[in-house]
Amino acid sequence: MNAPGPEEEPWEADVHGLLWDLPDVEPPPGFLAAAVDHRPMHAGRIFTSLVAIAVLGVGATVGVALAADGTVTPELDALARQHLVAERDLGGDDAADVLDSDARDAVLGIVGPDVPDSYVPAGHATRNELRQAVFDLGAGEAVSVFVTAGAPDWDAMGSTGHRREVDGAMVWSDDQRQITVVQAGHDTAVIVGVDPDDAADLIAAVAAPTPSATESMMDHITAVAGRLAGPFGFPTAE
Amino acid sequence: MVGTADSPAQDGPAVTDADPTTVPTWEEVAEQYGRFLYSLAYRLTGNHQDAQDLVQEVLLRVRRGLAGYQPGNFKGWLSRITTNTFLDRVRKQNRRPTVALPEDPDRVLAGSPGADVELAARDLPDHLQDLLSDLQPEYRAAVVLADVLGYSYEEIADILDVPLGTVRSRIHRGRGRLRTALAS
Repeated sequence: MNAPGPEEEPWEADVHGLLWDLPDVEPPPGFLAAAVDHRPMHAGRIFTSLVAIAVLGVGATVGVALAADGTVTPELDALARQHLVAERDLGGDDAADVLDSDARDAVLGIVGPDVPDSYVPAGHATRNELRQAVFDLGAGEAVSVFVTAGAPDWDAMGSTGHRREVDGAMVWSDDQRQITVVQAGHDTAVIVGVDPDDAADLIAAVAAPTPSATESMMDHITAVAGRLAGPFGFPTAE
Repeated sequence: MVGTADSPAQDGPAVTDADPTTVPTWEEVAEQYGRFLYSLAYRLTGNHQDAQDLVQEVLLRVRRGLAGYQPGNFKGWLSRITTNTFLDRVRKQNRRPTVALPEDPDRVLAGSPGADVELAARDLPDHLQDLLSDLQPEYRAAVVLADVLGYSYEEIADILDVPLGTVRSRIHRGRGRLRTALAS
């Protein structure tokens, strides 16, 4: 046992001794498995990696909780873990050399076409209804954008972050963990791995409706307009 | 500077680095220091769920900080990240007004004048962990660094970035509260 300082009172040595004798605490089985599983993998294997994590039980959580009203509460710790695995698996690979054009399109299809060029598409994965797009920032750093159907339940985001507005988009951010929740049309997007203050352009790209969503909305509006036009006697488009 | 200091422990293996001149990779950190991080995180948070969350966040910070790390006392560097991350989380979670730390050191020992701590009569260590978890986070961090990990006051002042006198008083008061709780 190491000795307490000479200025301490005798009773302090007793307390010190008790604490010094506390045993180490072991993590639950499997908790460190993802961290110590350092098989070299490149971006194209991210999906495999995510499946492996699920098998280990570390990331068995789907990553979102769906409420009865259809709103979504992201499980941020699970998503952060998934992001860590993806970032690690990128390693030193140049993502631009790894992904083919179809894969790049698939990544951008998850987030939208307006992603800034500094975010290099690096991989994607889908499990259940949760889609993950991974972007390479260089120097071994990456950003993940998780997207799932349903608007975010802002009231259930927890106290580790706060709601704010970034370039007109309402978001919830946990700056410490570099996690930002964004409503992307009718979807919820969670950006992991970048400070929201440094990612206003990415947030804007995520918040903007994707072309498919825009078309869907236009179809919806047209259909509603068509239903309304009849009863009110407006001419309907041919 | 903790990141370049020598190992702080007088005889405690928990804070000695195997090779202080090399910088491990992030994978090696998780593999070689994961249990150290987890044990420290558990002593700070008092439960497994919060310990897991804390370790995850610490690993994120370590991942980003390794590029700028200068070889030295690596466990000291990890301890600094872990305790500061813990205190950051506590501050963010405590939206309610915080209770100011008492200025009067005698308050710690109020109600237990001359009481001897019946050390052997308790169901340690779980009971002790519960009492540790009841300490204010700032006291708890200082006491854990001093009495669980064996850091010197000077090193703790560096880790927590507070004056030496503050470290001394936090440890003294933290121990005093533990003593009172143990004796009650």
